[in-house]
Amino acid sequence: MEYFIHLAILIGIYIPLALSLNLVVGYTGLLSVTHAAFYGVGAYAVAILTTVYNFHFLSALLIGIILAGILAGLLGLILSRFKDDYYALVSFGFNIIIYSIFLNWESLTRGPLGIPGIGRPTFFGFEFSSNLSFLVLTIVGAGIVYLISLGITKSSFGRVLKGIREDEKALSIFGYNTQQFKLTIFVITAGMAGLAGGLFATYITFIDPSTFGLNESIFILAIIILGGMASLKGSVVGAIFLILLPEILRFVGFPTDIAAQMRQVVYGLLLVLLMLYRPQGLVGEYKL
Amino acid sequence: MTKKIIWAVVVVIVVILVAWGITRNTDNVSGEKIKVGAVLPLSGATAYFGEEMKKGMEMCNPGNLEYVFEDSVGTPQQGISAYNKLTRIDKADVTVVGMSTVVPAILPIAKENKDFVITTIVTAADVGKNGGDTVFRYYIDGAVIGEIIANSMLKKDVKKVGVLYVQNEYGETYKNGAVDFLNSKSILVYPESFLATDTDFSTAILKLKQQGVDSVLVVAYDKQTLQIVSKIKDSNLGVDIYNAWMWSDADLAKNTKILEGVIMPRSEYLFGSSDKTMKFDQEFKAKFGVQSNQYGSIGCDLSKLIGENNINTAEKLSNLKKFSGVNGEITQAENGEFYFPVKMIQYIGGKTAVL
Repeated sequence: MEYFIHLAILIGIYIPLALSLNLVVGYTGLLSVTHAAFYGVGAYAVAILTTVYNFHFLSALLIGIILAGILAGLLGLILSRFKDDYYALVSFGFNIIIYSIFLNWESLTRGPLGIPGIGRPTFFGFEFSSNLSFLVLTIVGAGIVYLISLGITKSSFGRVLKGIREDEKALSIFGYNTQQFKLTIFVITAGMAGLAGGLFATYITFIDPSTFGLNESIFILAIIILGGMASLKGSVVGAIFLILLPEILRFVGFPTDIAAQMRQVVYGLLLVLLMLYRPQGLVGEYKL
Repeated sequence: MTKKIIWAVVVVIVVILVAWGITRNTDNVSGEKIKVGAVLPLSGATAYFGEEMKKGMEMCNPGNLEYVFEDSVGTPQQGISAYNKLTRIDKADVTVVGMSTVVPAILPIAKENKDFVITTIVTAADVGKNGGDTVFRYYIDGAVIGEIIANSMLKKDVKKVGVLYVQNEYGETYKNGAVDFLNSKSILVYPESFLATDTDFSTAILKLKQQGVDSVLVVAYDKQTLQIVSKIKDSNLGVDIYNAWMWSDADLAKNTKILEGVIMPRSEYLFGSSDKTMKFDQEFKAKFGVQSNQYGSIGCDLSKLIGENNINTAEKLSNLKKFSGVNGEITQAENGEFYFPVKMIQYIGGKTAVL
């Protein structure tokens, strides 16, 4: 049971991450590969504030979310000067910068040694020490992010985001300040990623820079492409699919000598096949 | 309608696969075999370590071990997934967990559930202590070896030491062990880090030259070690060179021309340098067609440790004070960690001499 609860918790952590990126990439059409950095900022903020400065989990999480948002605001100002491929490249560069900070600011982050012994969250004296209780917490976290995302997509703000994706120039002609819309959604979603990071840090209880590199950004991107761009359900389905698929493959009886490699090959192959036959993703409506 | 049918078929297949996998993996172990789960990096960037260790474990299985290997990909998330599967579904008697990025994430789970775990490929301090009474380690504590190397430097009356170290857990722990010890002896230390992917070390070496160091400690992987040592010699620094370890590549370790004069620690096993280790090497080469290395030898020792001593509980292992492995007489320290004996050697005249 512990095994399945663990997988459910991972899904619960990746859902807000995928939802947040989908709002930027799927709904607004901005190809950002920097969400792992915001995810890391949230994780490191919670880890450092709770282990070194004895902050309460909630206040640490809130600071992590705000910090990720502020960083996104600063980055967004720079990113607003770029489009398309250049936008992706700059966001990629930002991910590398943040990763390097995690790795090199040793007095704060302990560098490559990582931060072990991060405590589980406590609310009003109740400690989420069991995995089952932590699962409830992640479901609540994922649910809140889902509802916020739903609110955004159903609002006029969300429709403007879709408009930016379809034809930014046309919107500008109608008097919309598209830069401001793009910056706002970038900041909001960075905060969501920060929330996921805080949950991740307190669940795994150990973080190191390798978790928040470019590979992680690509993984989150893969979740939304596979699940479906511009689809909240797609983000959920993508997270479930990409977390469970490699685990299911653990139970397929590959010969032990090549099991790990076969698992990776089959995993990759399934993704390629899926993209060939469902380029809009499992439940998506929009292609990159 | 067709879409719904496709989804239904996919779901049914998934459920059948999982159910079949679970029942297959929870079969009772036949006879008196000890079920050993192993969470190792078997794919991804660090797969090399896990693959070599797995080979050593399989080769030295005395016959009473049933191994179930799971891939951690070297990440904590996948590592916990693999660990939970092995301990909760496969119900392994003992679980071997390797890699510094995975072990710290496993320790709290093992401690809470009192799982019997042996950790390896992790150099961080106090692994046994942090995991509770049922967690052990068979590997080198980086800080301990760093101190051993630094201690050997003192014999040469060093005044200023440069440390060139790879920026990961391995490099950091060795560096910290050496630096703390040297600083306590009032010796000036100048650390310079680099990434595991770096190939040019000229700037770092030039900086050390400007500091006027009289010794340099290199903490890197084998290929980088040879590049750095070669570059230091070309730069005419005129310093004593210390190296952390030659772990993985026999051909590189035998490159005595570049390594001439270099001082470093080594275990009993160093690519088949004694009768016992030569036997292990020959068997390894015959079975896998390649030369073994330090990781293969540690994997072999783990099989010997568990299999030859019939270790299926943490209590049995804590009562075992020493055992004989490819890496010599391995003893258990007070903190529950097993260490193999380490000697300082120097490459002189194309051979290694014990200091």
